[in-house]
Amino acid sequence: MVGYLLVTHGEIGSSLADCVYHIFNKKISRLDCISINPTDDIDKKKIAISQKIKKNNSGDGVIIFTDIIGATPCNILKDFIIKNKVEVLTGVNAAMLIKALSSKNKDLNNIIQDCIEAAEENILQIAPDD
Amino acid sequence: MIKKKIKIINKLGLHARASSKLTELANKFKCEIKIKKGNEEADAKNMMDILMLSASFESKVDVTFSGIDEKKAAEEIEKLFLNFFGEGE
Repeated sequence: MVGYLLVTHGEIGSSLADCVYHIFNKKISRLDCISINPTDDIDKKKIAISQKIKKNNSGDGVIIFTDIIGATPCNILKDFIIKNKVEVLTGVNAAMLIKALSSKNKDLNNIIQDCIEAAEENILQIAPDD
Repeated sequence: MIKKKIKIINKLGLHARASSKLTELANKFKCEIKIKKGNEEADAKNMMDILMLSASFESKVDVTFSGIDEKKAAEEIEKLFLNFFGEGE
């Protein structure tokens, strides 16, 4: 199964992880989080990211979610991309995570496409009930 | 094919956690299960599809079951709705 890692500004990732644990009513072992804060030693964070990728890769690859393109967490992650094995997605939201963690028997690239579609489809202006 | 009209009686409606339980149960069956609210239709085996229905307290949904184990699926899915998705209210 594909593994997942959230690398975000501060606690965005761990808060999203808490949200999906609550929704699925269980902790998900193949999902880990690393927060990036202004005073962090980036080299140490890179080591931590590398270790988490190894931990969560069962052979089917790892998808790393981050919050915003061009920011430090995203820029750090570029060094870890290995085509079809370790891929990075920006703009993480709860819908993407739910979609990813609901995916069964799908490969890394199919899950990435599902996540992008879920994220786009779930940004909507909500109308009141009739 | 079995069709059921079900009123959502739990206060939070088909929210994320309830949708997760519904998807988990629906995926135990081989039959196709569709949930319709107004003109919107969702695959009961796809959680994000269900959430997109935005089905709140007291709204009514039409659920259709078609396939080999539709009878058992209809019974258990309806029971989940009537049991407030295990939420107590």
